[in-house]
Amino acid sequence: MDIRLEKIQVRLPEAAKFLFEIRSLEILFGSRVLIQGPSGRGKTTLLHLLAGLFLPDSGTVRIGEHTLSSLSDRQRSDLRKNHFGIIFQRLNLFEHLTAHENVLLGLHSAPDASLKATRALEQVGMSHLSSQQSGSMSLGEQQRVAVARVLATLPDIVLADEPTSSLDDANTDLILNSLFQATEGKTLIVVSHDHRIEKFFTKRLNFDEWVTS
Amino acid sequence: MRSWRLAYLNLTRRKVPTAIAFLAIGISVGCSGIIYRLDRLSEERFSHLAHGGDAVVGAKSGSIDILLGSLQLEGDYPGYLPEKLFQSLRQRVPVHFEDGTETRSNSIRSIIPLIFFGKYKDHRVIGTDETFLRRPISEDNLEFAQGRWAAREGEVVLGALVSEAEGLGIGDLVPAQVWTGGEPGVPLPLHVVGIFRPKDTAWDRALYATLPQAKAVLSREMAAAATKSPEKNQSIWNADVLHYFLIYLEPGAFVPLQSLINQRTVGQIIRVSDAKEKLEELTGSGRRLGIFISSLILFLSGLSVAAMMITRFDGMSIQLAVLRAMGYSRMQVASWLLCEGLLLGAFSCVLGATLDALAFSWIRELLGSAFPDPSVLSISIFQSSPIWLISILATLSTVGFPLIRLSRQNIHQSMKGM
Repeated sequence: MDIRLEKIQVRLPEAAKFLFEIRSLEILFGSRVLIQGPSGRGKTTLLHLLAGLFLPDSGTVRIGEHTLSSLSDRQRSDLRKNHFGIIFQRLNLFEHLTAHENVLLGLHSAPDASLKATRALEQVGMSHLSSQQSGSMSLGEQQRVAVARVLATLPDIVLADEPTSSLDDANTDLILNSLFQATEGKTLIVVSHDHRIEKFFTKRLNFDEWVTS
Repeated sequence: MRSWRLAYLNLTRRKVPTAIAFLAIGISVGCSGIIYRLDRLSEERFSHLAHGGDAVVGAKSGSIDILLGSLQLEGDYPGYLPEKLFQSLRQRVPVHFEDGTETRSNSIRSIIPLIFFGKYKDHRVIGTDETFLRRPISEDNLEFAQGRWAAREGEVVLGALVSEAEGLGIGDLVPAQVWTGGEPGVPLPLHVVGIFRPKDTAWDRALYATLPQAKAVLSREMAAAATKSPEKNQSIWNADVLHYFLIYLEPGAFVPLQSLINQRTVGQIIRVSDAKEKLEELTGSGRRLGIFISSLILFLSGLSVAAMMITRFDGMSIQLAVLRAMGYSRMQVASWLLCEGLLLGAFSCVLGATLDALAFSWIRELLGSAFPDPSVLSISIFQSSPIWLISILATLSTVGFPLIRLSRQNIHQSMKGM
């Protein structure tokens, strides 16, 4: 499931100027890509674009055989459900739900959902807090739950926005190892300012090099 | 995770806002249910008023008291009227007054005697005669479903509701008790010889026996009372008394009869249509006010709940976006919101219905004679069901706002807080 972007133009709402333009970008299935670049240039927006959370002002986004702009809202939801795992910049856990329930939420109504959620929490070292509401967790713990939510679903493409920003070195290693393990043979695209994680990636893209602002 | 489960968790984990919404809806449902049931009760009172001709004569009191006492079988034990007056009116013989004047009435088509002399549970035993069955207007006639009219002492005919509610049939013994005011006491066993067809009026919940039977019972009761307390004179006419005369009149006959009876006898005649109108005016404005207040309570609570729900869902716009980003379709998110509204509405209705059930009798008692006694007219808690349905629909409709927001939501912008 390769990702191809062509002649993309993205504009901020009610702004005359484009946030960014991408002439062409191809990410082959199985790649591990680290996207770096200064704040405010549109890295998070790019991840959201890849996930089909919105459509570009012009241009084509192809995910495998699918052209996002030709899919209905329902079909784009199904595409995300079946092929994507997203770790959001603001974590976006449901604070009143426990760690286990937050992970379950990502599994929709998959068979053995509870077991998968438990295993994913074990992978990120959070099984001891599985019944604790995420609102009462530290930022680092919430980050690990957010990663577990994606790991549990074993998606074809993982999009991670600053997945280690609130983690110490030991947990950064744990999370990245878990992510690499879970995405073996699949696509992992990470947006990060964290220089500690550069060593884990063979392919690094500087946003400014292939994106026109 | 299924919509129901997510809705349940969302409600139970956010205890304070949920409790406030739950109480607000529950209390308003309870209050509205009580007012609505009182309104139904008032309406039932009219729809079940028995047919008793054009006019009723009773002992002097208010026209509404006479109307409800005679045709709705409500209220306390009524005052007596002399049977002699009844006989004079029936036989169209001249009525002689103490001042020496006399008058006669040829304008009465039919006159029916009524006297209460017993009770079986909450049902009254009425003494009357066969004119009760043969009225000038055939629609008013009671027909037998089974059996015949009571011919001898110790026999009784049942109204349809008495037979149905108490499971009594022909040949059964009814353990009634003598009732001449106050609590029923002395046993009055009666054998069922007939059962009337239902008329869906107050007549269905009474028992009927002969006048001689009533007179005999009253006679015994008065003699016993006189022995116990001789100073207490119960009736100057002894047992030759009645409570009401139901009268069918020739057109234009009411006014002369009114002047005859109201001015020159101990009785008071009321025109049934006028008294019904008066009662309707009296209770109608109260009912209209009740319905208005009931609607207002529901509307205000609906508004406050809508405001609460809109604020609640507004704060959930990022959560909705996250769910959408995780691959939940609009339909799935909408079903979660609807489940949440439905759960809140349904559980609040249970609270409202409980409040309604607990407080209704007390409020009914507080309102006194403005509403019929529970023994006369009962009203089920399920009569409040339209209120429950409206409140559930109203709660569900408050989900409409976030649903509209959801249909227009830009997931990317919501997640970036734009």
